[in-house]
Amino acid sequence: MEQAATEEQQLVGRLRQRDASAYHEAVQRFSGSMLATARSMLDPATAEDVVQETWVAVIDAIDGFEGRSALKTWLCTITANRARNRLRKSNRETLTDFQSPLDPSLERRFNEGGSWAQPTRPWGSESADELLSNEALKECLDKHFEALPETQRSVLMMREIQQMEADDVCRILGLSSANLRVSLHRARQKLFTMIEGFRETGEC
Amino acid sequence: MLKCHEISALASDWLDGELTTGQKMKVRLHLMMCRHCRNLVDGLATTQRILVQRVESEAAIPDQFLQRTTSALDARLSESASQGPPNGNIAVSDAAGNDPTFHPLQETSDDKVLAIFDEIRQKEGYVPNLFRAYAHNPDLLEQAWSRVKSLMYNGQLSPRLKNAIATIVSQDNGCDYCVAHHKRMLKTLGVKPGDLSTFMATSEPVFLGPMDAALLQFAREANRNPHGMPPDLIANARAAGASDYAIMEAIGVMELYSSFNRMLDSLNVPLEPEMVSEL
Repeated sequence: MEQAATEEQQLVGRLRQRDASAYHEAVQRFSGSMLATARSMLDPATAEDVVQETWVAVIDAIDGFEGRSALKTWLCTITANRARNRLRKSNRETLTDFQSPLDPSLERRFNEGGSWAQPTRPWGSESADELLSNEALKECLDKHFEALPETQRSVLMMREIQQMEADDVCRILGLSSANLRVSLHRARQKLFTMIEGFRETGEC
Repeated sequence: MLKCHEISALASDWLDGELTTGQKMKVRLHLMMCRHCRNLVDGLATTQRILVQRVESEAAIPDQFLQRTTSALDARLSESASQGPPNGNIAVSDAAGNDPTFHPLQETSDDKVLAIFDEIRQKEGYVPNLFRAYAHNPDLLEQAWSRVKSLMYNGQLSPRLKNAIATIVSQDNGCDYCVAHHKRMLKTLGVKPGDLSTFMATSEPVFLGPMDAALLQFAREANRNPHGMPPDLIANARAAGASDYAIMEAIGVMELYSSFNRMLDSLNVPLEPEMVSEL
């Protein structure tokens, strides 16, 4: 860990000196995460454009990097900040998506008194690994992940996958911290319902 | 005792350790007694693990992308080494590029325009091309200048916040002209270069207090997402101390630059040569 921090500091130092070889190295090392972040919000071609623009912007921005987060996380933050402005506006959330903590897929399983009408069945001993050994389930998960409303998908990518700070995610997506929590919870519910359905019927 | 419906609403906050101690006790008590809710919480936890394992944190890097990006970086690095202007397709003067530009008005005998230009010179030291473009229609010039005077030279909000709104709205709308001008204003207002670089890259307003930061976030979303604005943003601005007067002023600044952005970019009004270094 100590070693990694020092190595990263050296790289940052070389990036600050506008050393071309440092940029080539960093592009190789970090573009994968940046592309994954941008692709959660954009089509692949636009995502590549945004990551390329981000790299050029980093030449000026690197002086402002304070090392409060890892370099990779910081690069993903800049990428997401730029990607947000290219976001297609087709699959935007509606206001109720932020106000109600339960996704309709789960909400309808309660009665008026707030008790379970259709309770979930236990998932038993099947672990994440076992479930993921099923190719059809993986495909189904990918499909449902892609189909999430865009804020929910972006929140999952930035918070859960790239481990970005909640404050950064809120600022980039224009959410309050309560909105962020609701988006995260609703995305998980959607995928939970999908996996549960898949386990019971074997169909996506 | 919490109901199952309430437990379901809190399930992710429970899993992520985001609940208060009191809430935690209530959820724990419920889960001890309710297997249906235990199933839900376990299932959500497994879902999260599956997701983290399945969704790639790194995409494959296409060779073509690598080549394009490396040459773009090399070009930019050699430019900044020779202190030349950065690349970009902004019109700088009449001669720059092939894009037709809208000519800012240079000479005029119109008394109304001359009087307004005088006022602008007193405030800003010179007449920016923004106003020279509006000057082709003296009534619109008058409106534009009076909006700038009342919003940017008067009002309650801090000049830093107002210029931060102008900068971020213009960046979101892709208006290089306004970004260059308001970055320079922020520097003049004492924002440190490192803080400004951070702001431009990540939009984190490290040089603003909590109320100003909340108003900035609100004004930004009002520009880029007016139909899907999360209702909490206005509540957050109020909770941070913003009055309705201040909220309306932040909206006013957003509207002003949003309209300037559209005019400047659609007419391709050139940036003044001395501002190019701000890009």
